[in-house]
Amino acid sequence: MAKDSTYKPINAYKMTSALKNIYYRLTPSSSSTSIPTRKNAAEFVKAPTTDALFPTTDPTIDGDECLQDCASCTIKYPRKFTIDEDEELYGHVKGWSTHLIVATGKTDWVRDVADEKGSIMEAVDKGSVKPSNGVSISRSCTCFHG
Amino acid sequence: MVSVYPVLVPVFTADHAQKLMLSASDIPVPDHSDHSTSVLLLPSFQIIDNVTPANTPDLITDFVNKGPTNTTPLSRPSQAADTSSEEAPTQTSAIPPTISSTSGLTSRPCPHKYLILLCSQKTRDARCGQSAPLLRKEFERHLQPLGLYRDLHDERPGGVGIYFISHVGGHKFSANVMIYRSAAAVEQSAAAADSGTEVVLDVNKAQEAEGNGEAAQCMWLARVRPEDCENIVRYTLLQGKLVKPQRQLRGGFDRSKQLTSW
Repeated sequence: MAKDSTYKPINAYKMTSALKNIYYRLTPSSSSTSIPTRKNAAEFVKAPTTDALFPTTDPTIDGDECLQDCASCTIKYPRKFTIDEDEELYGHVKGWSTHLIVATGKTDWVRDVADEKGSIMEAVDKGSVKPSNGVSISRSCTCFHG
Repeated sequence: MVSVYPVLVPVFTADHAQKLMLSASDIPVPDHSDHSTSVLLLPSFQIIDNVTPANTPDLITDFVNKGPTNTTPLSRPSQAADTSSEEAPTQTSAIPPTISSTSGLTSRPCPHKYLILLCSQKTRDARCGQSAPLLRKEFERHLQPLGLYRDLHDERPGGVGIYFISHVGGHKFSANVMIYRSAAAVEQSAAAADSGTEVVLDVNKAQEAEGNGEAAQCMWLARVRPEDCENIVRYTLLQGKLVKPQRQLRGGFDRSKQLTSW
């Protein structure tokens, strides 16, 4: 693709705007979540389900494409690529405050990247100065979710 | 059809860990004779240059600790595109664009509008080593026609930075894909949804004037396969919607709505 310095606007993935307008008139609030009342303006709340956090595609709004995997895909995982298919996924990752991504120019590293000698990962992990941000709050709220 | 029913759900959260997620990546090391490197810090979405083991304590003190976290509310979205002569409000953070200090560290905004991070660490799990290059190829194929693909040396604004990163956990659910969406991306898709229009991609001019702001959202997906990439670009990246949430969403956050999965 030529490196053109000016791009024409591209309409990405056409949606049926008529259908969408009808949808929004019938259901004025987002189907995915109601925002719970917070005790203070800066508070973050745990979303109990995936669609309380992010909306899920809906074929009546997003088109049938959202129901189908890519048909033109020719890239395949190796035959023996097997993973856990059954365990429930949502909500089991530990929270994190910040994400520091170090440029190393490599795509693989020693098993524990903090053991890469002379690296920034090593300096962060083994250094005496630790991150101090990320607020520690216990919070609970009762919220409407619908 | 969407059913709307009120459900009262008590929400309990544990103490929020003060955790810095640390990833090595294939972001190229800038060519400096002093062997310094750069780091990309999220959610502030800043690149800090001239980082060495010696000034890493200053990196933590002056940039990590002074910047926003995943549970810092997002600043008010920027107004229309007439802010070209001033810093856009979403850039508000404790980190100024450059910093003069004895550490020599300087920062600048990351040019990308979105990030796709793929775990590639073969030394932890063969599946991660196998899946990452294949997924990158597929993502490239779908991002190219949209003008969003950026290879490792392409810093044109407004596209997607795709990087291989080290182990993030959960390799039994390989492939793990973390998608970060900037405040500009979230604003744009929210506006499109409200008005019932398509997300229009007009890169370069607006992007260069305003910047993308901080990272507003992260979707941490797992069990991603090559045939998922098309819809992940079309719906998750561009519109912030999940295609297979039960199967694929591990967690994430939304700073514009002040929500987390933990």
